[in-house]
Amino acid sequence: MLVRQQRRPGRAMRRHLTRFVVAVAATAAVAAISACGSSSSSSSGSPEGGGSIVVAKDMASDLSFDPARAFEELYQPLFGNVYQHLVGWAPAKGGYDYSKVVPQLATEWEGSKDAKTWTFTLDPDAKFASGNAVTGEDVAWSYRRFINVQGPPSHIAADIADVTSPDPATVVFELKNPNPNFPAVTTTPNLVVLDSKLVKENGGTDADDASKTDTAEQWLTTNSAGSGPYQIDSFEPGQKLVLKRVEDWWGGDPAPLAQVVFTNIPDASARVTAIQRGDIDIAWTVVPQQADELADNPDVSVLEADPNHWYYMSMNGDPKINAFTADPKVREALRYATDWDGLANLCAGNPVQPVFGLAPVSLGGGGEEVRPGQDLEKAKQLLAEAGYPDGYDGPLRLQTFQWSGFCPLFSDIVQKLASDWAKVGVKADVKVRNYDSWITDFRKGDFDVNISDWLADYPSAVNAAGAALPGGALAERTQWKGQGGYAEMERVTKELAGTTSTSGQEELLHEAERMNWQLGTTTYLIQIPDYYPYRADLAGVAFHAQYRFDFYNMARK
Amino acid sequence: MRRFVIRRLLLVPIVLVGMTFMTFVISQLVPIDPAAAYLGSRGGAAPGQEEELVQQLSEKWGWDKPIFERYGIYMKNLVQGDLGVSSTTRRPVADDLADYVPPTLELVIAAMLIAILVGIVLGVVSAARRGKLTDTAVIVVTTLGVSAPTFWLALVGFNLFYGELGWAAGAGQLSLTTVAPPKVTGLLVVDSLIAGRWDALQDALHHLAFPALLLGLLIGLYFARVVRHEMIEVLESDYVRAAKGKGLRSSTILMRHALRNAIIPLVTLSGLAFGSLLTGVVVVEYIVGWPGLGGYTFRAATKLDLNGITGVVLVIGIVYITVNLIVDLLYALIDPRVRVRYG
Repeated sequence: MLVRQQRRPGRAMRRHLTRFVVAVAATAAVAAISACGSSSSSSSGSPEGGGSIVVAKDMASDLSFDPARAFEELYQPLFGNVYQHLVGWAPAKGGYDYSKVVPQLATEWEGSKDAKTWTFTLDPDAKFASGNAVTGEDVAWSYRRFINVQGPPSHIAADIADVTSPDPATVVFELKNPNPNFPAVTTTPNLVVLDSKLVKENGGTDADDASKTDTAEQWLTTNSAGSGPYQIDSFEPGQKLVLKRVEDWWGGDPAPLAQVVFTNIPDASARVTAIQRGDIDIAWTVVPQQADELADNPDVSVLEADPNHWYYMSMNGDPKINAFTADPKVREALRYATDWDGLANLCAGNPVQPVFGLAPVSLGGGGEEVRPGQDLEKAKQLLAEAGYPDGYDGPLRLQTFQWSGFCPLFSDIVQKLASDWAKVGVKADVKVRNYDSWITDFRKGDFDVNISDWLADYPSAVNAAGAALPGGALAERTQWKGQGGYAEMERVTKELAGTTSTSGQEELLHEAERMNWQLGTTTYLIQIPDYYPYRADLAGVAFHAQYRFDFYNMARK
Repeated sequence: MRRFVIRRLLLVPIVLVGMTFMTFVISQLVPIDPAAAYLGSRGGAAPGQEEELVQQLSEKWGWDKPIFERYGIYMKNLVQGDLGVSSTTRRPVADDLADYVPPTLELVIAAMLIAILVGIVLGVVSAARRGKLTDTAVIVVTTLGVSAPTFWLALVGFNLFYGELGWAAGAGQLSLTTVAPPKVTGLLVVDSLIAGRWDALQDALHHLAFPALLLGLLIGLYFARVVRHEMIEVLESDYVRAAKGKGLRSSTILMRHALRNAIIPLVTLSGLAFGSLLTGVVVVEYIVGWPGLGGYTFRAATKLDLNGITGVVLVIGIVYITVNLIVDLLYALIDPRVRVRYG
């Protein structure tokens, strides 16, 4: 009996092992055969004339494609191709001219004298991919839904008091404040026009309680309802997004490329490998060192894009949180102590563009004249005037978060600032944190000095500057309400908001930039360029500063 | 044996309730505000609008309720089979899990099969040739393998085998040109077999080969050290000496007498390794763009997405319990003493 009991498991064990061996050997053999036998996947298959391209990126944050809710990443490259705005930016050599808007869905537009009422006339030929005509009511509905859903990006339309469509070809916006640049506001990636009939059929509503009753998000994430040259074909979260061209696009010939596939390659070095092998056509994005590696590869070009995205430094303006940074003289002293040229050269071999004032120069921000630059003696003098003749050794949390996608890194910037400030006797406590615990404290305004990145909602110096000025998103985080220098800055901000001419705006903007050096809590530092390797056989690759490529302009050479 | 299995199965709901409860309690200790994580640095930034937006989000996702009340609601829904909606992906957690669990499960199963094979072969060979060149080579290789950082190996390995040599497939589970087989189990290899799609099977195995071999070898090398150690101990025991004295062939002694006893710790280790691999593959998944549970768990955890995290915890709990049950049954199969005790 005992013997039988011992033998049975022995046989079972052998069978078990044998099965293991066979299964694993078979797996390895098939893998080896396929590894040797199959070539790399071709990215340029030709679905029904025109071919396709593959764009590889980290798709972890690409979760929603609902224009009223998406505020992550992929919505920007997607929206500009699938949806359309009332107006767009004028094409220019190698990219776009962000000082000139051109018709898109609207053929004409006109502002009232006080720049508070804007009337757009729509193109009578415009139609959605569904075949429905684009009407004034679609525009008004899309904007009302955007406002009433109250999603994360809804602040973009906070200045719109009302939007109506008196007739199918016209849409009228009433603004709360004058804005001579309102047509530019409508180019914000989220402010697109949806096929209201189609979205309503799938749970969309523009009602006042849309924040609770609109249920179209999931549908809009796997389908599109736009009038652009492409539409969403399929979406597998975290894996793949496929766009297909609209064959009878109202705006012109069908796009040369029949299909655009976004695929998930989270690791930047794996994207470099994939583009070198020709498995992908565009790598969304790599760091400069990786771009340099590709310099000798004749099959790959690298586009250095200026997406109007920059690093900023915010100092807390609330004396209850930090009395040191709440003093405007201290803030000015720390700006004088900063080595601005050194900051622009932190990424070895890849100098970046400085931002002198409150907007990149390319958008109309001030140049060197609005930023005095480093002056250690002046810094020490200001610290002495503020009551710190021997420097400062009290609490000073200089914080940022870990992120590896840019060069210089966030951590490089804080280290550099800490070493610069040490030269005038200010000792900062550097904290490089995990993103989600950082964002929790950032939104609460619980920091002394904060380093992070920012970008304008649409290419505009006034929008860029607005975040740092009183009432702006970044200024609000610094808890700067009524204290040191606030009243003076608030005055110029109000003047800027009340200006009805663009030339007057520019003059006031430069004044605000100069005042901000002395009084402000938030200072912009340097631009963050992005590097996009792409296969050299791709023509028409031009970056749009609203984080997208217009795939309509691309074709295989 | 049946009683043993029933007893184990009865423990499952208790363990799962405990795990979900712990998840909710621990989430209170994390210094993350889910509303802040949801909105990011730019979201809802208009003056005067933020409080309203945060209030609306809190109501929608239940962030404003005390944690025990949320736990009560969660358990009530769970009993009705509803895992809730993820605040990260904004999809039902059940849908997310159906998408993200099978790829990881496929990778982990393949890696474990390779690990067990490598562990047994290297461990036995090394023990049989103790003190000789082969043994030394195995010790060096296993030491190197165990101490090398997975992230580095995955990065270098992927660049070498995919980038330079072109042997490994690119990122993901399938080439972009391969149409996936109809989803039945979610395991691409199995689904390709079911559909009789040999092209998809070959492509899926090609994509699976690199991450599975990498993980399998790394764990296999660790297993080999354990098997070697156990084998050496067993080979020095009296009954093996007696077997040698009887004149049995050394291969018979190794495979039939020694290995069966030496393999018991490996069975335990395999169970543990399987569970930890489920979430531990995140680094390899990241590098090879594998659409698995690792990245999903990371996103849910960092955004304090309680429904998402708890869904993952439930899946891992169920897999862990199942695998350990299988391990216990295997014990009985391998070691008659266990069967007699629980008979």
